[in-house]
Amino acid sequence: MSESANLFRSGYIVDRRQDYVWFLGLPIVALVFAFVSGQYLPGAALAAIALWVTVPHHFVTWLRVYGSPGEFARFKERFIWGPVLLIGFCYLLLHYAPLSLVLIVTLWDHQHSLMQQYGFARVYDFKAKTGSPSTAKFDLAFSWVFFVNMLVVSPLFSTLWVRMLHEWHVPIGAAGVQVVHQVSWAITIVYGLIWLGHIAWTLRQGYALNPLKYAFLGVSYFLWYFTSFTTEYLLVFAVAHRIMHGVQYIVMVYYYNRHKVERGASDSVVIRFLSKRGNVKAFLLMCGAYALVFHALSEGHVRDFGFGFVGFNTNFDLFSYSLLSSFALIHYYYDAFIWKVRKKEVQEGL
Amino acid sequence: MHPPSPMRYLRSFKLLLLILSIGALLAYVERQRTSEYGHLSERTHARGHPALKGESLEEVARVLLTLYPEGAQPNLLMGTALAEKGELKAARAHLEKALEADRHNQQLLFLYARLLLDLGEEEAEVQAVVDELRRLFPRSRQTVEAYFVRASQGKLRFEDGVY
Repeated sequence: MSESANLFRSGYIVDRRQDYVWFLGLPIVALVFAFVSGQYLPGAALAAIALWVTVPHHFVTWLRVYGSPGEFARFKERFIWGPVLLIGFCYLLLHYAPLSLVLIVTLWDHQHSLMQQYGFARVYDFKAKTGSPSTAKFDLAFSWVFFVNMLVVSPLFSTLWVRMLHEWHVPIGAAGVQVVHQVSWAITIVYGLIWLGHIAWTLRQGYALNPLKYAFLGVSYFLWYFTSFTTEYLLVFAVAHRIMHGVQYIVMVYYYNRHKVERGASDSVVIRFLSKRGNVKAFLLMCGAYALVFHALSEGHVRDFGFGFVGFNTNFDLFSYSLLSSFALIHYYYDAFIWKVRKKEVQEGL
Repeated sequence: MHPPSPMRYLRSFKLLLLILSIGALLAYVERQRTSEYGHLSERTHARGHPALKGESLEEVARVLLTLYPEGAQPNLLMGTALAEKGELKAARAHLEKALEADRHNQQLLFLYARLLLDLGEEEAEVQAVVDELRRLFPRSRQTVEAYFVRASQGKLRFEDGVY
């Protein structure tokens, strides 16, 4: 028994109960909900998920970055110029080259999604003090290989990328697609074996493993593979994925802020108030309020509040619409550098 | 205190600059290809995107049908391409196959209802599809109703909230 205890050591992102609910149970619930939505709910259900999950999960990034003087000071220039440049960039692309914008948002969204699950996997190893020094690299490669394989070979995404290539006038034929599928599967199977071999090597070297991390990766990839292989309805994948991605992110940031406040790190009044035990409702209400404001902005409803001074220009609809992409890109951009588990400042909130 | 050097700014913004550069390059390629091949339709409203048309649409539909003959998207694309060419009966077969796989696609339901109207099918049959469209996509209900009242020259009528 003591030997298995040495081999496996559990560590949690939040705690045992919260992890079972949000990081292991939620993907299964999201999956069931998505399939039920696909069967019984109108297409507008996706818009509702975007409004109540995706938009608030952007908000918690803004809260962390702009609500905390310490965080803001770390990358001040990027937090000031990033939004200005990305909003302008999205508007121009939507205006003059919309396919380019779709491509950039789609690819960055996928990268962002796989990196989030990878980041949480790193947190599991950090909390349990498990894995060898090379585990991070092997896990990163696992995330890229398995996620990209899903995008390349699943019927749902194959249909999308083949169509996109034709839109870019790169007319790939059916035989070419089949070759790409076979190569992708071959790489994935070979790398899967290498990854398993590395886990065995890690154990042989005397490093412990965190079973929670593997359960978490297993359930996340099960959600992605199962939805992309069993449904042609993009809504089902999108609903399942967005619930998992958005809710887990919100939970992560909420506890990150709370841990920092509880451990005595100085922070703004807003963060201290929202992170206080028992103020979850206030936190969720702020998320909801932000979602409504963003909805008004991105749907062009702001025009109705502007006494005719706002939104009179014909390009206003295009600008409102571009906000959906630009806010998403700002979120991906910030997340690319604010969450580095190896950084001491980040470890303070984990 | 010295102001930050340009090199420090460049280092700080390297990811952002990379994204902006990729965007600019893609935009150049997109505009060049679109004007050279003319394979995309113009967007009709602010939230629309250019879509494949004509031969290019039929070609991608053929590729996807080879890979996924029962798939909703491949059959929808082929149905759209054939309808564009005026081959309505052949288009109908593909759209009905697409509907067997996915009855939640707004574009598919819209095209199918319009096709039935163009084929001169019974109003009740068209009405059932339009009602499905209205029920599943409430946000565009008014636009859909206005379109089909006009397209059917007033033969189709819609009561508020009744599907």
